Amino acid sequence: MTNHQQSNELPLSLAEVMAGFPSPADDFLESSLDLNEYLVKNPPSTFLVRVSGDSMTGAGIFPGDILVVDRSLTAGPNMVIIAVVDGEMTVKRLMRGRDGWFLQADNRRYPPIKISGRNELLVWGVVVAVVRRLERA
Amino acid sequence: MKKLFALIDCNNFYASCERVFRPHLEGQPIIVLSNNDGCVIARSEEAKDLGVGMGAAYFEIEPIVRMHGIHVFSSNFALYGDLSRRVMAVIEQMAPELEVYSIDETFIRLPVVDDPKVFGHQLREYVKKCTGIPVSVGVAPTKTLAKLASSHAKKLSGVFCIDSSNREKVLEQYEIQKLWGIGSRHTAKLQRHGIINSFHLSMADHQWILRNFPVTVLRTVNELCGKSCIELEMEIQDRKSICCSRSFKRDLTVKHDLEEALLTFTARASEKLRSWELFCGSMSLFIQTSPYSSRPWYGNNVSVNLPVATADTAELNNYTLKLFNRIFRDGYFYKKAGVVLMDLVGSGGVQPDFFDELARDRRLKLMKAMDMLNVKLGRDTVKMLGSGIHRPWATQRALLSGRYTTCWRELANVG
Repeated sequence: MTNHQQSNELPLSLAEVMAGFPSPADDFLESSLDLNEYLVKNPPSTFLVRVSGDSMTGAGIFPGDILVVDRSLTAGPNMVIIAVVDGEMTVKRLMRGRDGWFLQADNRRYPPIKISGRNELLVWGVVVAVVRRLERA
Repeated sequence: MKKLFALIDCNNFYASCERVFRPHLEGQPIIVLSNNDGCVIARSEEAKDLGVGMGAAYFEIEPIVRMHGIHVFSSNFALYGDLSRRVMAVIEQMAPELEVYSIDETFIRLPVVDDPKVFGHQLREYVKKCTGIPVSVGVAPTKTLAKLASSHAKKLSGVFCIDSSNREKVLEQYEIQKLWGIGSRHTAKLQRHGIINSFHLSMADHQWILRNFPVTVLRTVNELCGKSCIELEMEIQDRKSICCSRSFKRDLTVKHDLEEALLTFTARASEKLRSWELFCGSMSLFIQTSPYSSRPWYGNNVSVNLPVATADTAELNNYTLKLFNRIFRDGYFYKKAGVVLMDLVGSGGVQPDFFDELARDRRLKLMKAMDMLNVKLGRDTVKMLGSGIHRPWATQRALLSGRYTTCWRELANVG
């Protein structure tokens, strides 16, 4: 995110005007597609974190993946969020049950975490995208 | 409607930055140390309560640190700089007219709102939500009063407004030495004339002020009365010089090590120069031993006017080596060194030299390619060989947290 402006802006026109006629394509050039634009709606509030656990494999989130997290969004039911539980950041799905909110892992081996009184919900941010390069491992 | 200013100030900024990716530090005492882990440059509220002083030498407070389990960090300016930029960008979304005043403070012109206090709280909550950084907001009809209001805000609920109803009372409680724009020099003189608190100053006779002080003091007097005299500075000020210097953790005695350090400083400074699209017309260089050590002292500096203004690291490196040879003396324990680039001009201000033999355009392209690689692949991916590979003089930052927002390898982990 940091070097957003410096590193991702590709030149709009690559034709060097030295002499002769400009390239006829110059009039039709548009800016290149930018993945930042697709993944990041609000740059100053968007952070990247890396997944270390396997509790969200059911949601297609695997260890080593990079999550795009927008802190400006407000968490709602069924959203994948970064929550703070016992002072640690964790990725879980926020759910509303009959007797209140809870954090659910998308992996049966992990029990849901009930949010109540002592276990107050602290939302660090809302996960908006998963980034994974396939060459890994 | 009358225009209003606000000063938004990040609370204990560096300490707050350390908490963003380590939420378990919420409510825990934190201190951040200066470059080289020498002394305390930031404290969380909890650390202040434990009696850790600003600027305290680390070795002196180590016992308190151990006794209370204070969390200690080396300064992580990659993280602080990035979070600062984000805080300012988030503020700008709510208040487009702003003047970034320092890494953790910004003035804004308040947009037209029904209730400035409500706006202040909304701004505070939005910045905290988006960046994790808590801020205080001081609102007032002038910048001087806004700065004063923000120091009140920090002690109260985070937002404080000064208006005609409370202005006099607030000023009475505020000593003049803490005022923005009144230095210690003026303070002493004002106090001799019975002007102790800010209310006294706001009531001072304008003619008397003008006869005895520079016009900036009169400006402060007017600002204290609610008459705005200092506008937002939204344009970047003219940059006069670039300095890159360090104190070394342990003294350098070997000529080669000091040379390496200076070449690295030259590279850093010229990189910055190019990022601003500027060229320098002269440079200076200094080296010195510690004034506090019992060993013999030596310090010297030397400068040179360049034949043609340049931003070329290789060319500047040549001058660095020449200048360094002029002032280096063997047998001393060097503590600090630095490079200063001066007489900065834009490309339009570069006077070509008839006898110039360098292919300047091509070399500048090479430099910019090098900068681009370093931005993309990480600092120092490509560098001049002279600046060293081992760098025994490099800053010691033993307790550094991750560069969570600027380095792929150091992203925060989530379970």
